[in-house]
Amino acid sequence: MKHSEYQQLLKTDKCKAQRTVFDEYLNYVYTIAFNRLRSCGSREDVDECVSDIFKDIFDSYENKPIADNDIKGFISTVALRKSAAYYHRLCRNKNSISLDDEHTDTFPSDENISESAEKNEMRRTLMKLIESLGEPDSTIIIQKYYYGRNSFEISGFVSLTPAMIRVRSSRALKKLRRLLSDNDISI
Amino acid sequence: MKKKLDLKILENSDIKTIEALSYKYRALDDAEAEKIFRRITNDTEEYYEEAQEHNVEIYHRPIWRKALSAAVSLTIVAGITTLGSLFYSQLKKSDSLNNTASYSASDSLENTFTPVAITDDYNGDILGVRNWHIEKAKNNKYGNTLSVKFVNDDTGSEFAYSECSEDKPYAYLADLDNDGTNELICNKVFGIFGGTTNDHAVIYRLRGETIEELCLFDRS
Repeated sequence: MKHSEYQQLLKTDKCKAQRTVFDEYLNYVYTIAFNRLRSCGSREDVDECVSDIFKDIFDSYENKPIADNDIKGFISTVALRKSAAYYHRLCRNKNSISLDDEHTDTFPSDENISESAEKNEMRRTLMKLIESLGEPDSTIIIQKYYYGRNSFEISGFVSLTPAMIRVRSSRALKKLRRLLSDNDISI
Repeated sequence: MKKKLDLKILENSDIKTIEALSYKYRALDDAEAEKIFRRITNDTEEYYEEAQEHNVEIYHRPIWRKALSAAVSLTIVAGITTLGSLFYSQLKKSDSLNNTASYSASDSLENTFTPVAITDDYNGDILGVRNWHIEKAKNNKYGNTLSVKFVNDDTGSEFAYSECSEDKPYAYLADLDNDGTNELICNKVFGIFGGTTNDHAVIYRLRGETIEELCLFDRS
């Protein structure tokens, strides 16, 4: 969806316009927020963050003229920034230092570019390996070990019973471990 | 033991990985999506209700606590029952004692009604009058009947009057009101009292130093 299309829809039916954007980009926004807050926030925090992101998006499109027609780029920017703000709010005392601190200038950055590049490469390989498990095993693995859902919750994503999901999950995990070992990946 | 798999490595991914994740895998189901949309459209009340239901932690009470609670409850119930029955039995006992006391009191009251017949042989006090004598007169009109006057020797005045058959006591002494002093019960057979004859009695009683007269009759 483009910004102009959204604006057109907004003029005729505001509710429908918001619902369309929400349905189209919810998975994307939620993935961004969850990816950032997975370790430091609860599921409720992620829900709150996602709803705040959409509120900001709707508010921006309604009240301010947006020059860029790329709605996805705008949404991802808002989502990343809002998630980062939530992350800093939730993990304030863990990883942040004050700018007023006199040692701020000499404080080394945690970012290691080469390590970061290696990690990104490893992530892509991991994603490919998980994908190679095929459906529904890949979905089960992601939902269980990334989103932290139980078998009953996962049954809402794949058409299997919780008992069957547990069996398949166990087999898929063994297979994934073997694949990771073959690719010299340790996680 | 194998370490549990955790895909923590996927956290804080670059935008390409995030896009791949979001493109290939659903992050939330329809119900969760609906919940968030309601929250966005300011239907917060409903959202929080659902969130609370979702986050209800099922609390399993330990079995020993259940057993302890049951035992304590039973002890309390047993205690209340025992105390209640004890109190009730005590109450019953005191009631029976009261009844016995009242029966014995009524028995003793009945005993006080045992009259003392005043005949020619009687020489005790009558209504506190130590010195007295009787003046008898035969009533010719009714045959075999006597008019009896009780006269105080010290004052010379009549203090009681009775009418009786010749072969019967002149009057009776009995402590009717249980005040420790005998009343004098006299018969009246001649006069009309309460509309009929021969049906009434006169009771003389002592109050202080005064002798009072009470008339009783049977209306039936």
